[in-house]
Amino acid sequence: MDQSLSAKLAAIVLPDTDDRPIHLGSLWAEGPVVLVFLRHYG
Amino acid sequence: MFCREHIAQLREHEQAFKEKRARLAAIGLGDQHYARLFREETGITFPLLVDEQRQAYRAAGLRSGNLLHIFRGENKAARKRANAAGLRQYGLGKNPFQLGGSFVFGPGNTDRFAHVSETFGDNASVAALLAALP
Repeated sequence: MDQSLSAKLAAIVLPDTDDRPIHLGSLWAEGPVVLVFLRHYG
Repeated sequence: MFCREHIAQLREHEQAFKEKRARLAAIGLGDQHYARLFREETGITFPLLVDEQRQAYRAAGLRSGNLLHIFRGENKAARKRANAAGLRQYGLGKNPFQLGGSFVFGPGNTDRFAHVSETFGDNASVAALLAALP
């Protein structure tokens, strides 16, 4: 069975701007999230 | 500048997202230095994550543009719109051809909305994002 995109992304851990590791799944575990991928910071 | 335009639109409607009990989050390329500058300049208060290795970009299936995209009509129109809003491009970062995307997920691993950018100024509308929220 194909995994949903949110399930696929959930396990990825990325640092925030304070270098704290954030599990992507924690962003939408409790409620909905609007997640935007920026092209770059320009 | 298109990133700033999209972020400015989201910030402008932050209250509407809060009313739908949704949080906003962004992921960018580049390094911590670029990310902190971007945060300061745009004044965003929601989480901004740094994906230097493009791990999440690849997993999300986001595309890359090329030089030809710069000359596409919709890109010219988007550039004009962003310029009119006073938004300027400050730096290209590591991967200038990486395209973005917008998603609505949750609660839990539920996919509600996906917009994968086809060219540089192609962003999901705030109306579409709000409509996708439960």
